Amino acid sequence: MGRPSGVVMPKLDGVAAEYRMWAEDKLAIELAESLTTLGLAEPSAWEEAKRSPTGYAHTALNRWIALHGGELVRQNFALNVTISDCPDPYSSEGERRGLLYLLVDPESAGYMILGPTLEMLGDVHPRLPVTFYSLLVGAIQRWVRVYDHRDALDRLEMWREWAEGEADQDEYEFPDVEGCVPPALKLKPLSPWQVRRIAGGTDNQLSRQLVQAALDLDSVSRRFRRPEISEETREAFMDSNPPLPALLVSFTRQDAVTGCFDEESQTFLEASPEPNMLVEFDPNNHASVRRAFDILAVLCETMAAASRLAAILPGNTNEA
Amino acid sequence: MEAHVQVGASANLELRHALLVYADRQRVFATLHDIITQTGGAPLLAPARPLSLAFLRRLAEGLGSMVAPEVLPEIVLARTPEMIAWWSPATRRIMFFGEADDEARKLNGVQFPHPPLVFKVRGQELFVRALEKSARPTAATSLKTAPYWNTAGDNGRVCLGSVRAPESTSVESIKTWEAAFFQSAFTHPLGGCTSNQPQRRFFRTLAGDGKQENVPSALPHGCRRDPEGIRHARPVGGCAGIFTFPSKQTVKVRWSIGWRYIDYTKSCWMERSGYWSSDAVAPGVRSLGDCHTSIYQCSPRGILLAYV
Repeated sequence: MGRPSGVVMPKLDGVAAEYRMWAEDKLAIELAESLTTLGLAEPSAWEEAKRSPTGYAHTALNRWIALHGGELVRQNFALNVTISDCPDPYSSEGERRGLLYLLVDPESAGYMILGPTLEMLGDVHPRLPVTFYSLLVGAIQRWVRVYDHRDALDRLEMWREWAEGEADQDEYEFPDVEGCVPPALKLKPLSPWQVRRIAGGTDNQLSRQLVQAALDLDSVSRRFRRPEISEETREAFMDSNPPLPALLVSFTRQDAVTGCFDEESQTFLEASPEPNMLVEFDPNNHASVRRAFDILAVLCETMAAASRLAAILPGNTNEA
Repeated sequence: MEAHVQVGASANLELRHALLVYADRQRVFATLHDIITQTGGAPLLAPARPLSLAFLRRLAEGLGSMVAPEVLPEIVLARTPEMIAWWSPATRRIMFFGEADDEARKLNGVQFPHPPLVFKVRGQELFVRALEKSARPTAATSLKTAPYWNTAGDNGRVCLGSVRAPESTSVESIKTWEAAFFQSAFTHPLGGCTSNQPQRRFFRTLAGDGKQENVPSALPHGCRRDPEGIRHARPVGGCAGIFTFPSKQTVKVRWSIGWRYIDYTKSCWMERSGYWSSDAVAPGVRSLGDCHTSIYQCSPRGILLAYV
């Protein structure tokens, strides 16, 4: 056996490996107390959180997200859930009103291609594609922003207006957004009972599964109403951009909607965006904390249901 | 889904790097080391790396020597990470006086004309000085003593006491600093204003009770009487004054050099404020060492705001 080389890494005995600063923790302490009283946090997590109220609340938040389908959501969506004492996370300024803010924002946008699905459903019933589309996008849109052909059309209209003032406007080439939208989406959606009847009567098992998943998604998303934002908090976002899209919905890969999204996405962060969802709550008021967490639960379950549906969407494999 | 909690200003700072500094009598050399953490053991010092400019920049930012980019308005005169200085044109402002002085308290909430001012905030300290002209000062502009209680005469440092002052020195904080100064109660003489009475009377005169008032009786502590019974103020380090008038006035000013008097009557054509140096009043007087100045008559609303 060879001798050791004798090189020893210098040891920093007696040197503190960590310093903890505690300041302005009143709201975090109140939140930790409320979470414990409501059973939303495990007291055993206090030591794990190194007796930090924010760490304790973080553990409780993680646990709550996991209980409501967080792992499933992660498969298709990159969302950040933040509890903050400032409504605008992009700014450290702002009036502190003794409230906390539950914010949901995407790290990046998820992506769904619906063309093949709509084509398949159109074979079952001509109005099933628009019904499915409304259920799916409407349910997700209730909680986070979805970028779809309607946003692309708005963008297109803006480009056309800009080009009108230019001398060489004929030189501009615009994406054909209208042309990439399936004609079936212009029809009137079916009522829920009609959808169930038609889906139940088809032999196409995948179509049945998809419609059922869309109905489930719609139902979950309606369990709570999206909370209104108070006037005081809204003022913090007066000069903000629209929320960042949490999902891009196109009809085929690389279609005009995707093109518009790619182009528009370059300006998404030119000004700080509004959050996708914001719940104001009083950490000292148990009902208020409970309501905020219940709302988050519905958002998580909605996105988890969307993930379940995305998993069975035809034409959504990850290859380029 | 990633969870984050950002409440308050608590933070866990982990040991990430170590700097070792080597020196002899002439040179200094430093190395940067990463830290290797061990579960249940002391952290280890990783091999040395040369210091990079990027690291030094990060270190400087971490130590707070970086100024956030801000658009500087015209009023800002200077800005560093720890300090901001700005000027404020002559204007009328409401003032409040402390509870300890009943006479002064009667002047609470009254608007007074104020001279142009220069403010400086360094850390949590506020300094205020007066200006001769209501124009943006240059590096060569001399500063005058500001005529306020709670304000040191020598360097203009304001005794903030229990005033709720802003914590930052950003451009945005300027209005709040000014409000903290003017909306707080002026409670006690300090430095240039060593007696309660003169300033109280100054501001009472300024508020206007309709009576003629001889301002010399309201001059700061340190006055002396001449053989004619006129009291002379001993200016702080000079021989000039800043005067403020809410309307056109005729003011008689008496300058004295030793015991020789030079009476000077000047029509004040300025709406709000004026400034006379000894040169203007007594041409040829260059040495100010023995000069004293006083206003011995002016109409009720005229006010001597500061000595130079």
